[in-house]
Amino acid sequence: MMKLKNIYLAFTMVFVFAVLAGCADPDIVVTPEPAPQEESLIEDPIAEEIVEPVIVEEIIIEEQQDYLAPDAQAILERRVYFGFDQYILTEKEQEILKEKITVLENNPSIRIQVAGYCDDRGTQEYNLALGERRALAVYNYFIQNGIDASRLETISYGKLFPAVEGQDSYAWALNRRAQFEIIQ
Amino acid sequence: MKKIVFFSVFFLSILLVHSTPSFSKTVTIDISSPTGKNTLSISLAQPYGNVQPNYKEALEQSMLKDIKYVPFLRRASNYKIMYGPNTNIEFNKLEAVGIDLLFAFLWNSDGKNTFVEIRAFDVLSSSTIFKQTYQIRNQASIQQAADDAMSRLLQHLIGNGSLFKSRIFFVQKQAPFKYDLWSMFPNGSDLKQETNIQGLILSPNISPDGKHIVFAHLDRRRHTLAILDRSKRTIKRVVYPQGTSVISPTFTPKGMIAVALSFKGSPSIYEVDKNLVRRGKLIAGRSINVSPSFSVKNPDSIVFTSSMLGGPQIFIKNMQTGKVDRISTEGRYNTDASISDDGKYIAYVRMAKEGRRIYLYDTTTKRTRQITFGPGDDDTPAFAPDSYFIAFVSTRNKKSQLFLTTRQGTPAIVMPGKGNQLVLDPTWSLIN
Repeated sequence: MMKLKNIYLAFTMVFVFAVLAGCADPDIVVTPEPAPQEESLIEDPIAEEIVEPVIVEEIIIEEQQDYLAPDAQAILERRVYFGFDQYILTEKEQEILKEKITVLENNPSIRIQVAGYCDDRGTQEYNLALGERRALAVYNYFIQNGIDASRLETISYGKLFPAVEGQDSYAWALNRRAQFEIIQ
Repeated sequence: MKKIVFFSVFFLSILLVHSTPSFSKTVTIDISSPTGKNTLSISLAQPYGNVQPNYKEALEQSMLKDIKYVPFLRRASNYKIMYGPNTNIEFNKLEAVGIDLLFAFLWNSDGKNTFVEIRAFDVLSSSTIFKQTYQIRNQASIQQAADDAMSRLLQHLIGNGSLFKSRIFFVQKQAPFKYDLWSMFPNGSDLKQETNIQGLILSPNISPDGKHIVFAHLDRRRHTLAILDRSKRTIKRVVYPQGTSVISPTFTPKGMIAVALSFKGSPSIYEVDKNLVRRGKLIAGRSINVSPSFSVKNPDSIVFTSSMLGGPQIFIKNMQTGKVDRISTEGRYNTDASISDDGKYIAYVRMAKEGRRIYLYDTTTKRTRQITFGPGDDDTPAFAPDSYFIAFVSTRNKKSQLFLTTRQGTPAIVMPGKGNQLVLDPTWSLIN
């Protein structure tokens, strides 16, 4: 019985590995110089083609083991906040970043994206620039403290995707943030 | 000879005396002063002629819809006159009940084809503004007839009738991470989805020839500068180094693209050609420089938002001389400027305690005044090609919607849209 279970487990692992290998994204190559790329649009933009998924085989994959301890992941995902129209990291925010740096040093394979956001009192185009400065403030802090630039990405979403809906100082304060996501 | 001169002068004098009243008394809309007459009352006569009743009703509905989107026109309710080919209109009666303008409709059919003649009258001068015949084939041609008639009326009233011939483009949220580009006429007709792509489209702008649309595209990893070829239905994107922010691209009147690109946190405004190759810097500095805007009349001037003095303010730079002038002088946060095609007006957003509002700077008088009043937030003003109407986004109805006002600040009218999803970044094109 035990032997059968082992064979089944091995078979499942091989199958899962094959599926994952097939789905893996190619490495992202950052082009230093502008390289225009063309992509086609769907001919009739309104008539969106709906493709029904075909289920070939239903596979139940056991939840993947976190290769980052949950508390470390929580530290990495903790947000830092900024003042209105500001991108300066306060001492309190720097303390939060120091904890992240420790996690990054202990997990050298991990890469993270830093996304800068703003509250919705400003306007979108200016806020895209401000959000970028917030993301870069964090990025630069990481670099200055020994994290390799190749492990970091930044993006600004301006005032899009607020963390909290609302028109009060509480909501605004929680939306002026840098958010962190582990990337492959 | 003396007699001839004497009689000529005599008859000319009589002619002038008799014709003077019609010049002095005519319907006008004061578009330069908020104290002038800023609302005109318009009546639609009972349609005349034997054609399908649904055609008559559809045309009337289309006319009423268009009237609704012109902030200074008001329908004279409950007053409808009968009008036929031989009717002598009693203009004094119309004037007595406060009617300034009259539309009349003469329908006829030769069995195969249906036609309608639309006549517009100036009640105060008892004169015909225009009469135009349209062939009616279907619902779309009814809307086109109404739009053309309204264009002719606007041409007469404000000297530019392009509003109903101009297409408005805007971004609308389709899903949490999918914002597409849509377009329509300001009365909501001919609504089209222009793109269907993943990611976020922001700050679209149409080329002067109407063939291309440039926009910033955001996916989950980066910003890119993208250009849509409307005839080929393809999008070309330029990928800058990771972390670059691409903000507020816009076509210049010369057909180039001005775009704020930020490589290290200080967006400068670059000039980029249609192949998306950088040609040079228009606005540089260590501050935030975004949101370029150009007028057709003064293509060498660029209006932009800059934090060069601390908080964001509006500036104009003469590209020939390099001279930079500050436009916004009050308030700590002024952004999102749009200069009219005639170069005379700059609309922009000011943040105030009660919310964001749109202000208008007159480049001739150098004076600024508020033209929108909320509630909620009023954002992203965009001058129509006629330099008179202004589209903007407002949350005054607790959701983001497109509105239409004028540079006079006439009461804003909500434009029809699709659904209740987030709407952003209106922009116009006279070429459809």
